[in-house]
Amino acid sequence: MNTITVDRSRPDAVYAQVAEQLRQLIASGALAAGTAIPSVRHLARDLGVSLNTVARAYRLLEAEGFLVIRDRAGVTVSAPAQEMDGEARDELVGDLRRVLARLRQAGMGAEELLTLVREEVDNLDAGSGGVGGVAG
Amino acid sequence: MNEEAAVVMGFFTFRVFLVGAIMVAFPRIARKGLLFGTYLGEEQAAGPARRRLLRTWDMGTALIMLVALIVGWSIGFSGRWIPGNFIGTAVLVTPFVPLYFWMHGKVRGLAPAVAMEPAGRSAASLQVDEGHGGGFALFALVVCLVASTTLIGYAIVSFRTMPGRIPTLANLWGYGDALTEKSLVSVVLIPAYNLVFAPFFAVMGLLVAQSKRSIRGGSEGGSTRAQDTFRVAVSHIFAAAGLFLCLFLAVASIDMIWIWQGRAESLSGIAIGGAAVATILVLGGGLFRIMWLGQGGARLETGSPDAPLTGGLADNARWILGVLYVDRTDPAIMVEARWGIGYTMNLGNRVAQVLLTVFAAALLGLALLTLAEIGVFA
Repeated sequence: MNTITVDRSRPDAVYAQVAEQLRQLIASGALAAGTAIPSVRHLARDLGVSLNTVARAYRLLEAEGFLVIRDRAGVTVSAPAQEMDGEARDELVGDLRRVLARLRQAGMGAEELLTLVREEVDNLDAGSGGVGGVAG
Repeated sequence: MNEEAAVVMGFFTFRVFLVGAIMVAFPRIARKGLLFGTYLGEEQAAGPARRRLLRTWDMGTALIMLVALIVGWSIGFSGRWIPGNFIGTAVLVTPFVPLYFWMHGKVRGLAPAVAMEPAGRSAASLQVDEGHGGGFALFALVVCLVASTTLIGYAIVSFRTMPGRIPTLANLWGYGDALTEKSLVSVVLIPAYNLVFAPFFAVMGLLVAQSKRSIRGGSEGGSTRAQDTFRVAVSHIFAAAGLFLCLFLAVASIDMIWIWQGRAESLSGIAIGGAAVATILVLGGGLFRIMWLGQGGARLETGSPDAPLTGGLADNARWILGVLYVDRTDPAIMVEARWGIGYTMNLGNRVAQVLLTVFAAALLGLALLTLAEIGVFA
């Protein structure tokens, strides 16, 4: 059973917290492809946040290819793409470069960077959910 | 004491013991961590303070029951059994309000001493909410609306065939009482009550089926399942209450029209009695079941019962006196109650405010019409 937690006292936006936790749960396999997740209305109600907040998180994840939103069938986790088209790949590699550059600029050494990336990949493979998701 | 007085006072005595038993049960069936409408945290709410407070509550309940019985029966034995029933019931119910607030205040005094979940933090299950129970409630709503509007039509159509003076009430044995000049208002009053009250219960059933799920983290889904089971049970009890009330008032409406037309002498004892017995059995059974499940399915919760409650239930800032939930930013219309059994409305929600206003206005309108019909304003 997966749950997500939001904390309105945190500096990052609530929609970003929702999106980040769902992203981690999907990437780690805790939420398998085809799994139905609560509608915008139900998740907003249970979390006590506005409909727009959850809708914004869902739209973001839909654009990133994590969710499929259909009016009648509801919201489901999308299957991982079999192959990535060149443009999408270039965009994501660009994102990664920017993050790596920022980490380097923040003082992280090459070895430390490699360890961090390896840990994060291991987390995904182990299906631990990484940060955010409250397993339970 | 005549037979009618014995029946009324017998019901009064039963009511005293029923209310007493429910009040004793309330703090014991609450979700872990909650005590008299305040979230204290799982450890603190189960500690020695809890035992002390429960003892005080039990003694207060026993005292209230005793005083209510003495007052009710004293007035009843003096021959005034109707005032005895009403005053005894008032003496039974009213003192629980200050007693609860006193207990709530004592628990609030304990709350700042413990580490509470940060305000504004909430959790939700990613299990899809099927909204079970809503189908039955929707069925009840449709039946209640169709039946009550049909009966209003039947009363209006039958108006011409009624005599000039008709009884406005029926006594305990179902015979017409309080003759007055007939009017269109008086003949549609009972089905109009049906149109307001029965659908109200069905709508409550619908809203409960879609109520917010306040879960306990780390419970392997046990908290969500427990809450869902409880929610279905409460939704069904509201829907069943709507249907039975509709049935009861529909039978009464038809019987009263037949009495007015001279086709019957009294309300149909078998129909009314049958409806009453079925109502008591079904609603009594439903009430017993939800008490057995515990508030929010507290007795079904498995996994990690010491994990903290989440969401609105754990946030003391969103609750006034532990009974009123007010949060304008929360889109939930119905939330699990902190005190007692069942659900309560989010008074900060616009839809909840509109629903309560419409119901209160309908109730006030019916009350004024009834008082006008029995000549209070004459």
